[in-house]
Amino acid sequence: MAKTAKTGERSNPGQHDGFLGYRNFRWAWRAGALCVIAIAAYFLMDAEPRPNGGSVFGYAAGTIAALLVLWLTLLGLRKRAITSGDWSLKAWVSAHVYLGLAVMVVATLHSGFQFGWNVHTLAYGLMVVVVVSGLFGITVYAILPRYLSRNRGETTQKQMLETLKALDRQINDAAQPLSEAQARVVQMSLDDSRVGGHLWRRLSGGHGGCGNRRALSRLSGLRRQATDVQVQMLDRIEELLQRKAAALAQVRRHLQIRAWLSVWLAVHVPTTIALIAAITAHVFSVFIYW
Amino acid sequence: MTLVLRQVTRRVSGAEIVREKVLPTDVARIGRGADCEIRLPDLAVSLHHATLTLTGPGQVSVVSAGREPFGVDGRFVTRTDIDVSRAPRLTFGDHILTLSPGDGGRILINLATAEPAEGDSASGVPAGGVIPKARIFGRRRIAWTLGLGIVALCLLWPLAAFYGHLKARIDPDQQWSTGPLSSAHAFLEDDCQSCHQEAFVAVTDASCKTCHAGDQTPAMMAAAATSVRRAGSPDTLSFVRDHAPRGRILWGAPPPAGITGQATAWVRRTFNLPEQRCASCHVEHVANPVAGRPPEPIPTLTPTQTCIQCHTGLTHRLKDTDLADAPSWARHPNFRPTLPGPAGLTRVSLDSRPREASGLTFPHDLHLSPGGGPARMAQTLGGRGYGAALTCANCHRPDADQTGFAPVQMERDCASCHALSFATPGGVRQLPHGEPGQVVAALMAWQGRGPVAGGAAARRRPGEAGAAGPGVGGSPSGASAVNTVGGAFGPRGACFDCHTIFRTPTIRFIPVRLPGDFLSRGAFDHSVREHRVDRQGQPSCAQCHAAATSGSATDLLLPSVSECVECHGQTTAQSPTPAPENCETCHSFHAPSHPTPRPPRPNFGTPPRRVAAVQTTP
Repeated sequence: MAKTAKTGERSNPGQHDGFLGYRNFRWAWRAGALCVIAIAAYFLMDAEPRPNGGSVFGYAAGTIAALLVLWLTLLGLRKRAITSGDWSLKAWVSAHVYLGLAVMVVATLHSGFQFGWNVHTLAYGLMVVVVVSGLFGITVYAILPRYLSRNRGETTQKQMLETLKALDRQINDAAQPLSEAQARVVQMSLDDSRVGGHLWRRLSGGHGGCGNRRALSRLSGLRRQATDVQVQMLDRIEELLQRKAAALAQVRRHLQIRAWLSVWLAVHVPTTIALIAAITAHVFSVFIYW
Repeated sequence: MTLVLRQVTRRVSGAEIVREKVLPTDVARIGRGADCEIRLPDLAVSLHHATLTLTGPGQVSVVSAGREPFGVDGRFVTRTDIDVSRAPRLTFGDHILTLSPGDGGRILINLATAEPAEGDSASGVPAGGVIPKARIFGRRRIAWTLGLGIVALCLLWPLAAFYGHLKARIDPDQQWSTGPLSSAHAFLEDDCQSCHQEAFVAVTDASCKTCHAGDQTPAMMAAAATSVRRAGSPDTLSFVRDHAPRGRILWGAPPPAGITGQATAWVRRTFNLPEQRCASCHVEHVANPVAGRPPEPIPTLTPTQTCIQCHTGLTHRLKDTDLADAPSWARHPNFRPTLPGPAGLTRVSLDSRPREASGLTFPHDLHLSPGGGPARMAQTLGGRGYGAALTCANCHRPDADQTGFAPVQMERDCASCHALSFATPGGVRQLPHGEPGQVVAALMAWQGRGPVAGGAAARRRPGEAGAAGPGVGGSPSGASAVNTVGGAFGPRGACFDCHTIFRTPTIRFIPVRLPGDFLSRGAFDHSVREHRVDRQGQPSCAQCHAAATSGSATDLLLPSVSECVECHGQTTAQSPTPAPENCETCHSFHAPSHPTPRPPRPNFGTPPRRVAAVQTTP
């Protein structure tokens, strides 16, 4: 029984359950039941000459799968309005996840395992891409957030970037007395220590040509030819570059995790729209060439 | 002349702050070093990068201190002499020095920092603590592109082709195909509209019959066969006939049974998918029901009903049908041969012990008796196609396809013994058969010149017709010999032997009507070995046809269905020659009077079997 929360307090603190385990996996059970019924019907209703989308079961499964896809798509609208209770957004997301997995089963049975180079299999393939990307999304949502907060510690992204800028300023100031060759090395760190960038760089977290790393690796060479005064300055610079390297690694790791957390949506959402278009073509073509 | 350094910085609000400093000498060092007069805090600039020297009124020279160049109006040089009045622009790293003449011969050196491009950061660290999203994350644009692309390519393009707005070489509507066609129809793969002729209307029988109608004229069928061959069909075109008019099949079929059946019927009604069409049973776009196998030679056959389902209680659903119910093989109705009756040809059940009315007088027992006259004649003939005694095959000859028998012909099958020739002084004469008027004329011409052979006692030897005279041995055939026209048609006369003749007052024959096929709705295949000979290889006609004991031509020598049951539907334990009890063995769906043809090429283009009685005499 949910305790009524007072202002500023959580209801049922300590009983937080995520969208996956919502209400003892209520939607997992329901979606599982749907799959079991669909599989049983598939084997009980003998479709001639072979299981196909045009049998009674085929039409029933196809209709259910298509309606489910439309309902699942509505999460895009629903998530922008947060409510509570049985129709809370959490319940909705829970249902979205498990019914989304059930769609895979129902639509596969609908196909009767008949595949070919046609618009029908295109729709099926897109559905598989959507479901698999969703599955991937659930996985990263389940795993990555703890790494995100562990990496971030108590800082925010804005603070991380401010730290970088501050370090850059300090490096710039500290490098002013340096000779031309030494300054050029420090300049690498200032010019080429990029964060962000294109998708693959973010996902891999690797910045192969990172200016800061190159600057650090060349510092020891510079130190050999430097005067005592310069060596002192270079020591100071190296310390700053090392700090910058740590700060860069943190920001890049942060962006990497965030990229993994959202990259699946770049597949999931557009493919869903493509899927709805393909389902439209699929249904329309079946009926026009009835 | 003095050099004045003007340092310009920009406030956040956009306003400029200008700090002026008069340089002490005419020589100014430019560089990052603290001892430089013009100090540029830029790591891209050397500690002492260049020296600017005032060389004359409005003239300066700038010379690199080392090998590092600097920019002058976009060019990189290590040394330059410049006219200040042209307002030259010197660049050192990110810093810009703009020279301009000032009041009182002063030379102003404006120092500014190059503005970074919008959104770009000199250090690589994004400004404002916000990192822009990677460009690929433009989900909305990808979604629109994919969605509209699929609608255009998979829906609108094929639709335009369907409505004939495109004359494309490739067939965009082929992507709508749900699966490959059978190999017989594979040549239609790129021509969807050969079958799907109307949008949202299930493939009609008319589409199928465009090529396959078996009730067309032979010329039309030949034209259809040529046309599909030209279109690339690899096979012989099959022609089929309707089982019954579609309306009667719809009424005759039992209502759907069970939840699945009712659901199917509901779905079909709701989605306008009529039943009992050709395509209801002949399913296309399956290729082969077993995945991975090559396509079937013809569309996959998926009967919507079994024979038993429709033919059980059919008489209740189709009140006017002349068919009897056949709820199972065990309860198959007895044969109902087609016999001439008062109201023309009618089907009469063997259960009512019908009589044959061929109009002939023919005792089978006499002919088949090993000790009878016909047997003795056959023995005499020996070696001319006859054996020790007459057998069935002596008179009954198989038809062209060996499945049945050709109608008995007097001249071919009887005349060896029952010859109508006779000797006259002018030579051997032949009475015409089947032409009573001409027989009378011939006899009138020869009346009184010799007797006309007649009666069993006076029969000639077969094969020696008339050689010895108008009777056996050339002598009058005894006291009963008939020399007149009346005699020939009268008792013991040549005609009276086989025909029923009335002489009141004129000579009148009972017409001879020999049935083509007694069983008009099924087919018994006499060519099947088990139907033809017994286990010793001897003809087994007598097993079904009780000819040896039949003394009258009105005996209907057909076996009842119980004769078939001795083999059909029996197990190996029950019968030495077990056979299937499938309806198709004797009845084909598309031509019930034919057995079902063996796959893969059904062809009912041949005319249906002859069921009308053959009238041989008027």
